[in-house]
Amino acid sequence: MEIIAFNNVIIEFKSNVKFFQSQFKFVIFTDSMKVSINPIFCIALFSLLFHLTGAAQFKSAVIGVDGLTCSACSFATEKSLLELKSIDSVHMQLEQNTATVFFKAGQKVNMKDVAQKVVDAGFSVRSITAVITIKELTVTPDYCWNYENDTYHFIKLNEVQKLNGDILLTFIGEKYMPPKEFKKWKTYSENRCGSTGAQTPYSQNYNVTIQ
Amino acid sequence: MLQFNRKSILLFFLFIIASPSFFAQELFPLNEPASTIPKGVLGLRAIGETYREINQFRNQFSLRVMYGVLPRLSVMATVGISNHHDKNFPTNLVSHSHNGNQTTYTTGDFQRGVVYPYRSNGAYLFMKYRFISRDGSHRHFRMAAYAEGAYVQQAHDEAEPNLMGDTKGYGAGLITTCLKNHFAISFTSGFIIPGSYVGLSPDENGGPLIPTKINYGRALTYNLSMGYLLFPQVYKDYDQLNVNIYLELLGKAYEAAQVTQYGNISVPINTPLLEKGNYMDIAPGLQCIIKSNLRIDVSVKLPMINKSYARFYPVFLVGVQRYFYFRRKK
Repeated sequence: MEIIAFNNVIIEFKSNVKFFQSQFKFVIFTDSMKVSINPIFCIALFSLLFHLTGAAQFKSAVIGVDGLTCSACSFATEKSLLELKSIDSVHMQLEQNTATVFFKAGQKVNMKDVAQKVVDAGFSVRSITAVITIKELTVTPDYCWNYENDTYHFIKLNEVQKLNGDILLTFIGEKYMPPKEFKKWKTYSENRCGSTGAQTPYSQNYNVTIQ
Repeated sequence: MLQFNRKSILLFFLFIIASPSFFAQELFPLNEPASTIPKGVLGLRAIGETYREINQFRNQFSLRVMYGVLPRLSVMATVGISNHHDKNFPTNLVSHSHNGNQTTYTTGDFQRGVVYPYRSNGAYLFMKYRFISRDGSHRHFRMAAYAEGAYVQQAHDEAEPNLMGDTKGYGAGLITTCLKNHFAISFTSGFIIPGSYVGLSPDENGGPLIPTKINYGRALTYNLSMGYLLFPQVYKDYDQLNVNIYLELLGKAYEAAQVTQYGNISVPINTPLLEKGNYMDIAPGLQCIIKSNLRIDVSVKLPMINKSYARFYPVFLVGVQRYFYFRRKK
């Protein structure tokens, strides 16, 4: 496997050759330098990059909306959600009281802002379940995952889970469910992180559980 | 043979809303619901009112601008014109008679149906704040507080205050709206503290025009609004035409007016138009919503208990409303 440096900044990975084998030599090209590095270092660097960038992407979310009573209300909710840069399209289902949003690739998703847009339209969030594509993440009960400068605290997990592929994440919190429902989750969401990645403070803290 | 009196209208509506499995809507033609306008959304509403008084039509045309300041706070400003009043009071609103050296002033029944020019109704401001929201699946319970104020310079000649076009003043109240699947009901109650108007009052016996001040009566208002969605039975897309029927009961109780002339002469009230009173109107309405945004209402007000002296019945109202969404990408 070859690692090609591009403009001294972005490292591009070429081919899918297994990189666990120590006989491969990894070469990093810079503008004017050719450096050969230890494969173990590259594995660590690769893993770290995946961990920090998450190698993850929110694809869509189904938002349960309470209080919707007319098509004009649905219309207003859709318009409000479309104000977010991260949302590509919205599909409202008035009969089922849901809004399915599809996120744009490459845009950071702030689920707190998504919930706020429903409130801005004049309604309440009953639930948010998002589809997120995750590459190889192992989570333990109360694991705190740092993704795109936010912390995702996995709660109510009974065992270690290895996440790879499309995962259904349900958001737990006062902004993501009715007050009565949140009372049932209160003790879980107060638990502290059992195992964390990097220690730097993050801008948003989300409590999530896997469906 | 069907008889369209007030009682039958009420019974018909109650029968309809007892039917199951329909959604209701709270977009009442004549009352604001406890729900607020979505944040950042601008609304425009054109309102027309007309009724026949003796041999001419009294018309009022208003334009309302509405804005969602916060998810829970909406503000509205309304301007308009009407031909309900003149700058001065009608002849013989106050009349006088001489008895020796004594002059006796009194209010009396004055001529109705006089043609007046169109004059500005000033400005009417309204704001509401939703402080309770209990939302569920196809239902919600909401409460809002409202405050209103108006600056109007019209020679309104009845005791009944009305901030939309007749009297200046302010008011506040509460709105409670409950909606569950097939039934929407809302109760609005509040008070109005009107100002006064000083104008000149002609007397049919001749003489100079007399400066006359009317302090209008304070009022309590109590309105009950009900709404029901006729179709569609199942929502498929935004392009479906929505048709709703409404029934609103509009009640008001007000104090007598105080009339003074020359700044200090109190004039006794001898006409029901300026005495204290109370009434309740019934207003059935029909509403179409086109492409989930353009809303057209038609209502008619009829007297149910007593009557308002400020209008002649039936009063026809038309409203056309649209929201404007400004797509700001954040």
